[in-house]
Amino acid sequence: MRLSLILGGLFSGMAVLAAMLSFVWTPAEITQLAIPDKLLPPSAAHWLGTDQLGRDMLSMIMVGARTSIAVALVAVVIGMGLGVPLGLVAAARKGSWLDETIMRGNDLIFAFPSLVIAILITAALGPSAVNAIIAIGIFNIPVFARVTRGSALPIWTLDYIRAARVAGKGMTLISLQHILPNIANILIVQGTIQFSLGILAEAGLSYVGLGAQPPVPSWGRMLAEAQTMISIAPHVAIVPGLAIVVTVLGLNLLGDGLRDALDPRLRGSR
Amino acid sequence: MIETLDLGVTLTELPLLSRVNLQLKPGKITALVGESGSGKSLTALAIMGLLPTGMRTKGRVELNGDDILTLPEPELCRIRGKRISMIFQEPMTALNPLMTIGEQVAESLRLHEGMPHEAALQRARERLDRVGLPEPRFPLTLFPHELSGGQRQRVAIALAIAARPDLLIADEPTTALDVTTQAQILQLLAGLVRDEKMSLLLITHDLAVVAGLADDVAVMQRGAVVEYAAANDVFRRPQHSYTRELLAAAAHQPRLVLTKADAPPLLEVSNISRSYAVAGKRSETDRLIAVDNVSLTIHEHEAVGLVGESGCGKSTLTRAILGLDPIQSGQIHLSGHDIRAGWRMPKAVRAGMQVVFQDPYGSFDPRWTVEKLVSEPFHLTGRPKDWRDRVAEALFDVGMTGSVMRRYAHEFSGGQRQRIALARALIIRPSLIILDEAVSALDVRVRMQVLDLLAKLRVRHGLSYLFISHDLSVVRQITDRVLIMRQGKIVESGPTSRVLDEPQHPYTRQLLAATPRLPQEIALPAPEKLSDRL
Amino acid sequence: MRRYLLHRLIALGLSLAVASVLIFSVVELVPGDPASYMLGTGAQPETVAALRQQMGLDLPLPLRYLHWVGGVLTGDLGHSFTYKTPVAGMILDRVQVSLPLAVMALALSVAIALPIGMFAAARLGRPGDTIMMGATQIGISLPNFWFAMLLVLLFAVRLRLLPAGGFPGWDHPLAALKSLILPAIALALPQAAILARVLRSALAETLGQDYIRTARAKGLSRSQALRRHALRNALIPVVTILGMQFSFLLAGAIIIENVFYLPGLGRLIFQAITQRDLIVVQSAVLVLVAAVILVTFLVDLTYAAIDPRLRQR
Repeated sequence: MRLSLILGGLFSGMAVLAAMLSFVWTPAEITQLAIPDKLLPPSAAHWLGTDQLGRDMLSMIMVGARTSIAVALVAVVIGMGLGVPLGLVAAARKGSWLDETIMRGNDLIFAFPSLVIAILITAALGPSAVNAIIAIGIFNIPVFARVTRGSALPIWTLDYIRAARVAGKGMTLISLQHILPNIANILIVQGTIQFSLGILAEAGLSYVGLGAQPPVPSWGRMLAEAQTMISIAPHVAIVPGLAIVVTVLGLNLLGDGLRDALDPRLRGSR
Repeated sequence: MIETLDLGVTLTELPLLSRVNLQLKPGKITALVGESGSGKSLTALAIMGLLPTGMRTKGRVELNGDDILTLPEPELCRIRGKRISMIFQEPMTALNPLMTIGEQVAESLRLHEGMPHEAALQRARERLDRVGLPEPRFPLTLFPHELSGGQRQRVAIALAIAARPDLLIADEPTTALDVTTQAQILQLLAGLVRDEKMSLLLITHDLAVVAGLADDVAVMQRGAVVEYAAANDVFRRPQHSYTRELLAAAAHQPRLVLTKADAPPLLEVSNISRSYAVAGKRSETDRLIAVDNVSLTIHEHEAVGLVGESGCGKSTLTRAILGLDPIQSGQIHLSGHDIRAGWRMPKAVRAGMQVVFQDPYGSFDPRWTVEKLVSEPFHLTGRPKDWRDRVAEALFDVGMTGSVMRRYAHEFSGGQRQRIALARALIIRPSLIILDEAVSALDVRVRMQVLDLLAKLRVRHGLSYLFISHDLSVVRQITDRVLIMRQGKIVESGPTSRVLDEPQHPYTRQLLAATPRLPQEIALPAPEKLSDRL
Repeated sequence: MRRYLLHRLIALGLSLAVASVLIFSVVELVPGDPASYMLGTGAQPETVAALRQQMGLDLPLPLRYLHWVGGVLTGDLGHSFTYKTPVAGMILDRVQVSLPLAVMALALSVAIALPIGMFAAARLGRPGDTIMMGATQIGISLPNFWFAMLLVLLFAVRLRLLPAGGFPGWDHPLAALKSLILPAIALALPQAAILARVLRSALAETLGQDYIRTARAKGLSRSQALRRHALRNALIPVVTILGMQFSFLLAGAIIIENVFYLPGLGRLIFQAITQRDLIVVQSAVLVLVAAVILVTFLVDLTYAAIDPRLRQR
């Protein structure tokens, strides 16, 4: 069980570390083009080979990690920042018009095919990393609202909430003091899941040209550019894909491991 | 006949159960009695071969002389349901919600007797008739959610006895049911044992339930049978000290405190009503009336019991009094102040009453320390500088030391948790404490201690209690006055001893008749007589 | 039951109405005037104005919205500015690719997920379960378009078994089907991984219920109890996910359609946005959202078919 936590931490830690490191050091300068060295397979000089413009793939992947992680992370922050309060309010006012409105709004956002709307939004606002963040973040809001409300509702029926009400505490205080700490685990786990989904979504958006714009490297665009080269130099397509898979897998494993580690039902049994 | 010989269960070398020897004879009822965690259910699951993974059995379970513990799983499947059957405590969740009751009973027959569908359904019909669910009111096509808890338990019994097993194991079959339903189910089980010549292993925590029903009684403590004899002997001449303790605790009466008759009223509830819209129906006439024009008064220093079965409206009434749920008509006054439900009830009014709930597990935020939990009501009065001392004082009051203050609720037993809950209720010195089934989830010996504590605290702090319970025998031990509630109305009220000894309303009589009772002439130090206490 | 149905139907209509307003407003936000876009930068202002009037762009917003919705209700989705053909016909053409693709992918996803989920649930916590769940974890982490590229590399470039892209049309049914196989696999695999996990955890949850214990006490073996009692009870979350997946497969295939150069609905929207063909965007998105909402409605009906407690309302 702990294996998923370790592997997950390792994989996602690697991605974060690569992104951090890229700010101070990369194996090669990614702005430097070297057409004669294009599409070299992995070697001692270029661990992961070079791309169609002769740039070092490892360096590209490292800088690309920044974009992916930043976009996905900020999108999670947006989703949590708006979704969690909405979910808390909906749960506290269960059955009221406020709850109904919030939940119906959620359903509505869910009804939109997310990718299509993301494309619409980025088209409307112009393609950029920031707009990718907004497009992904918007779809994180109902996810967090729903998870928050869903896990808060059973807690509202518990006796300690009634005891808090008998102690004169209002909705806000109860939500902050009793509900939020008790659902924090679930939110953290959901956060890692949305984080990994965000990385996939960012890759998809940049693949169709709606994410970060050149010269900022991004994994998705690297894949798009590699597509035509795939039969001549498969590594240009395989490397960025693997980077995505490893990062996303790491985050998923981390989420799984956290879920087990934080599950109160499993605690104390050790 | 089924016999267990030195039956034991271990979990990774740790013995959970040891040396259980039971002879379960046809046509006999054997009661397996003990407090929670004593190993009763484990014994049942071991006999069924349904222990959780990781647990191992020792000894033998013999079915007509053959050991079944060593049988391979497919063989066991042929025994389960066919030779040995089992029903469980919680009838609400024991049936598959997506399958009709007829199919569920018939499944057993198709499985064990290879009956064709039609024939199995026909037999299912007979079995359901036998357990008291006759046509046309209870067609085979009903789903479990269309039945009440008692009716569902009857279905569970029908499917357990469908293939006419040699042994039926009933694990706390009536604990989740109301007393009147409990009496009916016990009667049904006894009748089945008599008619079908099967043997019944009846597991319960409540000695009174098996009095007059069981032929043999086995008392369990910490994974071992400490006393095993004919029921009469166990009740009249208990040999083991633990059995004597259990019997004494069940019969225990705390010292009664009587209030002066002229005490001023503290809580006045006048003509309150509350109804709910029934799901799926919109018209006004279809509303479920939970509380129907109820009035009651609690005087200062008085302990009043409120007794009723599930669904009688006592929870709604409690929530209304606590100002948690609004009422639709009538008025509630606490020390002359109006109680209006909602988030903005004045703190000073709220501070006049506190509450202790039934569930010792759900009553505390698992992430808060005891000192934080107990001091929570200070929100009403403002937290004094010496709040830690006050918490320690309140804990001391309920018999706990201040050293528990930094610990979390899950580190305590059920009884200790109820003490902490009491400390939380006491800390701001309210005049009224509402005890909502506060001792119902406790084992009998712990219950006795908490009841004693409640009596003591009442004298010490001049408290009033509203003691809500489904159990008449507990109310007898702690209240001055009792109100009997049924279908949203209070049908009878009066001094506790008068209501319980000379009930006027037929419903009260019915409740009393259904309440299980220990044999009167137990060989125990006699409980104090009421007259001694005055 | 009738009440439940009515309730769902009202919700369906309401969602559609709100969705249409939202789509209309978002599309309005897209910068760039379609008329000037069509005529190019050198166009005379008068010509642009004339075209705007012809396209109805000079009307006030609410009126344009009503005009559009009115058209949708009568089956007239307007004319594409760039292709000069009726939008309804264009969408219909594209649906002929998107719908079979979604159905194929969904069927594949179920076919893969069902055995895996049941296999894992039957061995909760044992090695078989751990291995299967590890495998699905990888499946979930695959970006489907990258997986698609790998499939192309293997099956089209190296093995030359299947086409690398394009769609020959349904006049050649066999070739058409063949060209949908790789896209369907690329779409289905990550979805199957999700579905298998949902199924496993739903089964794990129901296996812990009291009625499973009753079934076991009745003499059912572990796997009989799983099949006869747990599976049906675990279906509700599974059906929910299935519904969401179908919506995703119908609309979210944009990227896969791009990889395989398939003329699907998603790609139509994508192209129309880049060409500022707003009437096409509006109507195509509405069709998609309507499909999603309809699927949600069908999922609700399925709930009722599964659970008698819902039928009673």
